[in-house]
Amino acid sequence: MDDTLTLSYRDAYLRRSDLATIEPDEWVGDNLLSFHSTWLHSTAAAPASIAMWPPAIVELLVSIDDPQEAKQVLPPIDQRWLCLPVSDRYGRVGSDASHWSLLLFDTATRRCIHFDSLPPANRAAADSVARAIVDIVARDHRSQGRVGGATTANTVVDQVETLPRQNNGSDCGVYVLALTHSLQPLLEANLANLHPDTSPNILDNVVDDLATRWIPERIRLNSK
Amino acid sequence: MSDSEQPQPKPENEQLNIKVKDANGNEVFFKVKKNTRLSKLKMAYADKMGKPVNSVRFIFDGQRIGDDDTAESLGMEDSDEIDAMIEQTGGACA
Repeated sequence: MDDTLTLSYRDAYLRRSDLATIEPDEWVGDNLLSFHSTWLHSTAAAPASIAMWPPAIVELLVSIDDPQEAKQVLPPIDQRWLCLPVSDRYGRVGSDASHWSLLLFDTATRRCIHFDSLPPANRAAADSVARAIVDIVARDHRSQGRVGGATTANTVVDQVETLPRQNNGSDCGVYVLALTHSLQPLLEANLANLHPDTSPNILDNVVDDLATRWIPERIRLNSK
Repeated sequence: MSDSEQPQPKPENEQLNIKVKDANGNEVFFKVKKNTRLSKLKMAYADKMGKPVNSVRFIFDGQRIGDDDTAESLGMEDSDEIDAMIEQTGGACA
């Protein structure tokens, strides 16, 4: 089958079959999200305060039980925020993937914020991703003598209730692209204000602004 | 791209034993030469698992493995492990 390499940028590449996944009514493929994560990384401030992991890396995160092993096979976590694409597949091993959502993770406070365009479709999967990332970062924090913050046992995932629902059967991946695209400049612009001890309200404002203003502007929602 | 197939005595360490593990914990072992493009390994793996090669993602050290990468370019050592994930898409809940 002819599947031409269409676009390559640094270590990311898209084939024709990957680009086809962004056509109207198509379902966004993980390679498109991976490419986007490389793209975001290249446009981030240095040192980067926010990173998006490719879906394959997030799936690896949830499939590893041993935290020591996880540290070896996952990327180093040295950014303030992580954007983690969530697939419903991550909550149920062996099942098919059909829905994307996005988990925003604050590595300083271990707070988890979940953007789902069809809630509560990915709630269980987002919980799995949140527990896995909180576990790894909490261990890091403990080894540095930092106490407090969420642990695996008390991980709470904040659901963004103000995000408009997708009103077709295909746009969830586009939400993830638009959310991460907007989150990066919004969070970087507020980095100085988002001190871990005092920032919850400011972060809430950023998230609310994103959900109620930026996303409706970026995603064409068909009127009912 | 010289294809000179002269049998050169290769030192033992030229070939690495690499384990490929999928998300369900299934493991497949391969021997690879250090300078072989890992896209060939991915093809062999996909073939063995009965998947299209473009549906397989290889991850090593927290990074996706590119088609031009080799064990040498990634600094792989004997008995290192590659994680293999399968493509996924999403549009709406099933």
